[in-house]
Amino acid sequence: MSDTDSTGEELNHDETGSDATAATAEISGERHLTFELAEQVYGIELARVQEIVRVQPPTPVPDLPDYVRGVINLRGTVVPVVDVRTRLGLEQRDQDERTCVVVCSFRGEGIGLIVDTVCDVVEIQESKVVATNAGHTESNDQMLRGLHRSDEIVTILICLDRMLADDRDADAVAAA
Amino acid sequence: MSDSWDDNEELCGEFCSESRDMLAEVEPVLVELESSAEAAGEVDPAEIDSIFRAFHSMKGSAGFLGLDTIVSVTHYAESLLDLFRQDPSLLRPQHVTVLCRTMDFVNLLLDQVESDYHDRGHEEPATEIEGQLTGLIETTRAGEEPSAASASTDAAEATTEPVAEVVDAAEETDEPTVEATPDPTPSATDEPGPSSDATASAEDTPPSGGREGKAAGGAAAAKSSKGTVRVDLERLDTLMDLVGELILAETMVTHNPDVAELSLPRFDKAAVHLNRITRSLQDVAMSTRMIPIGATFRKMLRVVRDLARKQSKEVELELVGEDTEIDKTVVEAIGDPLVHIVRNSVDHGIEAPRDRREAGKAPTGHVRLEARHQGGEIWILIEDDGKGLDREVILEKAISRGLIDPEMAGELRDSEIFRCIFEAGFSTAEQVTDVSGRGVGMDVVRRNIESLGGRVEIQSQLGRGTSITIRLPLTLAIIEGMLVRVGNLTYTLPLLSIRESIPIKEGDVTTVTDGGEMVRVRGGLIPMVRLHEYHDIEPGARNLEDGIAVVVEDVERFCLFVDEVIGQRQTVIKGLPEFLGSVKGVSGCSILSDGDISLILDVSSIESDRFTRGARVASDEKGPSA
Repeated sequence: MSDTDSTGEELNHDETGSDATAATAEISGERHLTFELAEQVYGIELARVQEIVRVQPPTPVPDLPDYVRGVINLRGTVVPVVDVRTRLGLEQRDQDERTCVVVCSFRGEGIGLIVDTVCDVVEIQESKVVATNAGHTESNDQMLRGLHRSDEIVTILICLDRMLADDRDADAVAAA
Repeated sequence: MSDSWDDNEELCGEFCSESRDMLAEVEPVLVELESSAEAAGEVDPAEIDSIFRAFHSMKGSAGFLGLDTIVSVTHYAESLLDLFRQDPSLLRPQHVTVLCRTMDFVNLLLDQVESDYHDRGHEEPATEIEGQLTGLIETTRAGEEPSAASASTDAAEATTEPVAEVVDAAEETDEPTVEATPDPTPSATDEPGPSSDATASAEDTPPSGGREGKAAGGAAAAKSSKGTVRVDLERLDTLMDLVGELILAETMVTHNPDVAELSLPRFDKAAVHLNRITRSLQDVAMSTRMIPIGATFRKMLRVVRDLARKQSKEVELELVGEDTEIDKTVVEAIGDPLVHIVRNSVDHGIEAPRDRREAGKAPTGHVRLEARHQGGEIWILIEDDGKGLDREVILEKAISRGLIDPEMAGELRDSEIFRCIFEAGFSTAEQVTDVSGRGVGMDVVRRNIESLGGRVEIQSQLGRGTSITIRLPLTLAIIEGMLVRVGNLTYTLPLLSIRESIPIKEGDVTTVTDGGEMVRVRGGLIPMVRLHEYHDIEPGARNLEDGIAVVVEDVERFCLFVDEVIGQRQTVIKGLPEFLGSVKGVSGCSILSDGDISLILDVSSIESDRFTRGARVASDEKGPSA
């Protein structure tokens, strides 16, 4: 497991050094599903997770942002899949037998998240969550809610809604 | 009454849907009555009876539910109609106008009842309508006093003491409800003896109760013999979904690669049997959602009548193919666009009688509404013999709005120019009327129809009339498609839009000035879109000799260059996940028998993209890549 600083390094593409306290949103003592991306642990609210499935090659859909890998057939339902590595600006890597798709609910639909591997379900205490203070890129700040440290494991909490929100939406909101 | 309000919610919902059905049934009858009265001076008393009964039943149910405004309005309407039951020849257009208005008002009240479970807050318009009705009752009675002598006393009672009666009706809770449920099925939930004879005991109906009771009994019998059941539309949707899934699952089993290579005669036999059953199940499930378009068509009678009267035009509406069955959701969604188009026909198309005479046409304008099945699609045609569209006026307007490049104008066909009237904010009406001419509408019409997977076509001849064709898929759930492959993607092309597929050579292709490509097919040149370039994907075939061109036709004929044509499949249409937003040239997706997902191509949007691309001029785009 890497520590906070190296995480900061990894996520750090643009030294804007902005303060991310705003992104620390209210986090209750909720259970989170943790997964790994490039040896770093990330967490999302368990309540939003519908199921975890083995990765299957998605059908590419043209004309979409690069992080949307396409759609998969989940027992008759067409589910878009998002490559979280690409979305967070991490390095690409090939999928292996541990690669999973975590299906989460977003605006009433299931969205699949491609992650390196799923780790655990953990209780995240609000009091232990700190801001992602390292200078991440602005878009990253938006997508991350904070850091949680317990037993030497640092978990980066992801804000699903912000991560899955279309950048074009965000631009539209900002422009308004 | 108010203490059992919760139970009332359900009853209110039932009451509303029943009343709406009744009004919808009765309205075209009323409009037809009027025209038959005008034409032959004769009115069928049975039809007046049916309208009377509708109001009467509504009044009864409304009284039970404590919907006083509805009770009182329907009461006056009933009293007026009662006069015509005595003497049908009294019916005049102004009566129909006011009765139509009454129906609109009741519909408005029903909207509120449905959401709020009461009909209060509309006292002012109610009083106005009641005033109009009372006025008509009095003049009608005064004008024809002698012939209606026997009935006048009852009618007088009805008019002199209406308020008291209204209160009565509202308080006599049980009786009116029973007598006011002509449809036996839905009210069976919590009312005893719902099938007891409909209207025979009407406490405020004048003496002809016997005749009426008989008629109503007959109607009730006719209804129950059909044995219809109201089903929640959502359940039908779920059923359709499941049947779709079942067909997929069936194909997945019977075409499973594990069994494909084996010789299994008994399995194959069973599979054929299963296939037959699933297909019939699919047909049946689909047919449960199909309803005849007639009811929607007959609503147009009223639309045409009102508008023609307002503008002093003479318009005759002809309905053809009322029995044509269409998916219920399509019927519902088609209602508003249809109203719009029909209004436009009457408002902009049909000329005033004098102008028509001057143009050498019959003074009465003719609008024809037709529905028919055509090659796996539903076609709805709206034709008028009005003044038609003026190519030059539309062209000028389109150029001023920047929709058409003036330099290209000369080459454009009429259909391309007429298509502009479906653009937002486009109106050529010189004068804005309260009906149309604001340029709002036709774009909405087009969008509504396109969202159903249909399209609108328009043809017109100046001075001769306009014809609009709405083409809709038979069902929204299943598509007959042709699978084509580009690189590692499998696309589904709607079979209906495919004309042929042809091998082409490098030498057949010419690049035109805007960067687009034309391919020579049997001497003619048609535009070509290379699907891999359009969607920017890695193709399997870059050389034209390695792939194939599929000729498709929406409004215009063009061809799509793909790697190969795989074959024909029936697939279940699924929408693209909302998350993806809209993908250019793609209308949805479908799941193939091997579980793979295929994108359904939207030929018309590829075509319009091709046009806009042509307009942009491809200076920065490369020519053909090969």
